[in-house]
Amino acid sequence: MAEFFTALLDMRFLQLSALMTLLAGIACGVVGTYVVTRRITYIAGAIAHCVLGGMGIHRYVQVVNGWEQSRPITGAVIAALIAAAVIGLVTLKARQREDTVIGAVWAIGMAIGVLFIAKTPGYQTDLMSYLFGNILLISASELQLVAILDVMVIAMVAMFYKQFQAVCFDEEFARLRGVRVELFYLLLLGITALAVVLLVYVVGIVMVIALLTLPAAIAGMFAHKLWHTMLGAALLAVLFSFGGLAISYQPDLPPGATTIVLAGTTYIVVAILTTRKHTPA
Amino acid sequence: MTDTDTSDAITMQGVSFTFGGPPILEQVDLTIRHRELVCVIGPNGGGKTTLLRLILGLLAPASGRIHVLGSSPRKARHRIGYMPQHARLDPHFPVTVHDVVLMGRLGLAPNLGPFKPSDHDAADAALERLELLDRRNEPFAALSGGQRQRVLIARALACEPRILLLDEPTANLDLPIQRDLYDLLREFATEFTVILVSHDVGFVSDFVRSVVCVNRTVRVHETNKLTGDVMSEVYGRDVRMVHHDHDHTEHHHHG
Repeated sequence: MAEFFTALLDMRFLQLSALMTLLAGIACGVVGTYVVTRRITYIAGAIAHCVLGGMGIHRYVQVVNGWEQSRPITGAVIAALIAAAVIGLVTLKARQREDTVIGAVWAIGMAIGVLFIAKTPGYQTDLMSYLFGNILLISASELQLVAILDVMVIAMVAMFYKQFQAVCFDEEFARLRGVRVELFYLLLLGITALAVVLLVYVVGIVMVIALLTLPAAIAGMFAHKLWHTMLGAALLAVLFSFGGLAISYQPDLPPGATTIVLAGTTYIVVAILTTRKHTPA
Repeated sequence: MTDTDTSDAITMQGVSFTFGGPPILEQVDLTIRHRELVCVIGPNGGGKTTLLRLILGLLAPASGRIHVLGSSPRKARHRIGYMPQHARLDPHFPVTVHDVVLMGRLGLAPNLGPFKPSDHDAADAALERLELLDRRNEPFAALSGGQRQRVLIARALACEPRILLLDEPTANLDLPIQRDLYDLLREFATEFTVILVSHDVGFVSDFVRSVVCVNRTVRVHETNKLTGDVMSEVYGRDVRMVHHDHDHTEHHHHG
């Protein structure tokens, strides 16, 4: 661990990665709280897997056209937003088929990514870093885009906190009070898509839903207000992803997987401890 | 009387509703006056919930006309304070009692940004009337079923309603507390229209002058004429299932 902090002082890529854990963690805590309370974990999972499609198409177009400056995050954001819109619109129109739609979008998004990556000429893109994340590869220009996405998510929640809360708690009542619940549901999926893209960089496509839900689930065991849960979840998400980065550095472990093991273990320990507390001796 | 006559809180003329199969409600004519305390009763599946959702504008009738406060249900819905059954809500949602009641201020508060101090005051005033102000900072999840139901009544009050619509408000309450609640509802009915849905026929008949019986069709009965014959007409073949209620009714009126 000491080695990591020494390296952090003079290695720029580590500083960028650390900054990334901070930015992603904040969005993760805020959006993860909605994902957990509105029970849309599997929608977040489907959106995450569609990111592979976006990144795959982006990579293909980039190589074929020789667009060196273009960043994969562009493809990721577009794919995530399209996936969110498709799932949102279909579930609003035909609620009874919700799980089928989510499953289909999940698989199709991923399949498109695999096809485009397979057909990308020349050097094969490192599929592993998309699937399992590689926070160490983040560039300064990507970090700028990440910061913009972060600000967008937080601004949206700050403006419409009470509508989002009402829609998550009691959708029918919110509708009766004149809240445009369909619009806010789609907005919620939209900010979920943005948060998912940030987390893909930290832990990779496959493990996004763990980092999105575990901090919010832990914070939810102690908090009695929605924004307290968000604050706690954001703090935990930053702690887990920064901790994962720090712990994995010296033994050269994958930081994404280390982060998830850290978050998962904490969740299980806290869940056991709080269950004990509530059970009469 | 014209369609837009505002002297009635709710009017229904020849209203029918179906989900595509057999009719749930057929040829319903119903008038509810301002500041009336009305109880809607009927067997499960008889159309009570559908009637409620038609009044709220969440469903549209297949035929017939509905006027709420002189306009369409959708336009009038913001003047209705609605209390759903609390069992529908996630008991682990991280909100305090005060947070829940504040949701009643949506539509009255500005769209952008947080609630105003006046909204917080209105929420507290509503909690005060339900004698729950001392619980305002407690988690909603920590309350008993009956207390949660009262919080949801406070939330409906915070809407500044002209019609209060309560779905099974007595479902989780002990008898003495039910009595207190009915006293409170009668007090509310001096200020605005109060409509409650209940399956507990025997008990409500002590408190309201007339009941609206819903079982595909709608009949309004004076409670002092609510006999066993009327009940079996309302409940039809299901009369054995509501034998308990049936007994109560007879007991109250003959005993």
